Amino acid sequence: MNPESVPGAAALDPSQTKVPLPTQIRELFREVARRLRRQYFIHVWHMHVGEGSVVSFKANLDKTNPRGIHVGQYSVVAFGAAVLTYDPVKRRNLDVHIGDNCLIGAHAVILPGVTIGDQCIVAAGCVVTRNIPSCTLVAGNPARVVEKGIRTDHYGVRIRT
Amino acid sequence: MRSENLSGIDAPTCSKARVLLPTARIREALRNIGNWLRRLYFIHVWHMQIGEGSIISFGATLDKTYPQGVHIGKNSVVAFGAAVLTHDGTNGRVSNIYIGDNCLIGPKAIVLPGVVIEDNCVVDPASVVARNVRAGSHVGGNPARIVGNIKD
Repeated sequence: MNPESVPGAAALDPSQTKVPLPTQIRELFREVARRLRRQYFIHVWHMHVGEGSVVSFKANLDKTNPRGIHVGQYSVVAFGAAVLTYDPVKRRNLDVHIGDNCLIGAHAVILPGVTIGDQCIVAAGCVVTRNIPSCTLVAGNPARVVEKGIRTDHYGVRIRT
Repeated sequence: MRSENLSGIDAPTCSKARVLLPTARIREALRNIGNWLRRLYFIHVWHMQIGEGSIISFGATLDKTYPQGVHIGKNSVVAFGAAVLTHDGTNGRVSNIYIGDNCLIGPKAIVLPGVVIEDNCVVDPASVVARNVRAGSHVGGNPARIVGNIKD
């Protein structure tokens, strides 16, 4: 591949792009399955998953101590992410709290006993070992604060002022 | 790249490695068919651009929110658990992604939207590629940095 021949990989506005039919069908089924999945976590595993929160089908919520998971409203746990509540080394159950309007990125790991505040963004592939205050963007392994004072809307969509 | 590595190994080890168990041989044959079908599935159902001879592992994720933005060159490998993303929900945007020829995206690696990975690159396992990667480089870590170069 010649880099000069590559058209710019610039960001596009999703409303401007054509959504193919398979994607439309997929989104429809996903919406239904998402709601069922939340009810499944709440009623079968007794987790606290707030209204409107989305847990991806490939995300892992720890079922060793399912009562220790607290996810707020309108948060997203993306695919491959793991939220852990049991520490097998110390043999302890530790609660994990995730606030409202958060985004836990793809393949991120939330270790037991961590509290994540409201309106936080955890970047992809991040390993969160310590508490995160509200309105912060963290990235890396271990998670470091990249930006403070950010604002997010529902599903962790960032509001830029 | 791979053939070079193998040539460095002693001949007896190499010949031993070539003798596959019957079970492994059956698995390989089925995988070859599966990989071939999987590439066609991505091309014809999702309208992605995937070059000839590229292998997308059965555990790999290609973003289906904006599938027409995925461009993968010839003879590349996307290993298991790897994710190639074209949409960024946080910033509310979609972007194209380009992966060149003869690339290897390691297991569980993430390629973020808008990234261009040029030819002959190797991405280490579990790394997060956030920026463009020059041709012939070897990157790794979170976020991915250049670890070494791949000599032709």
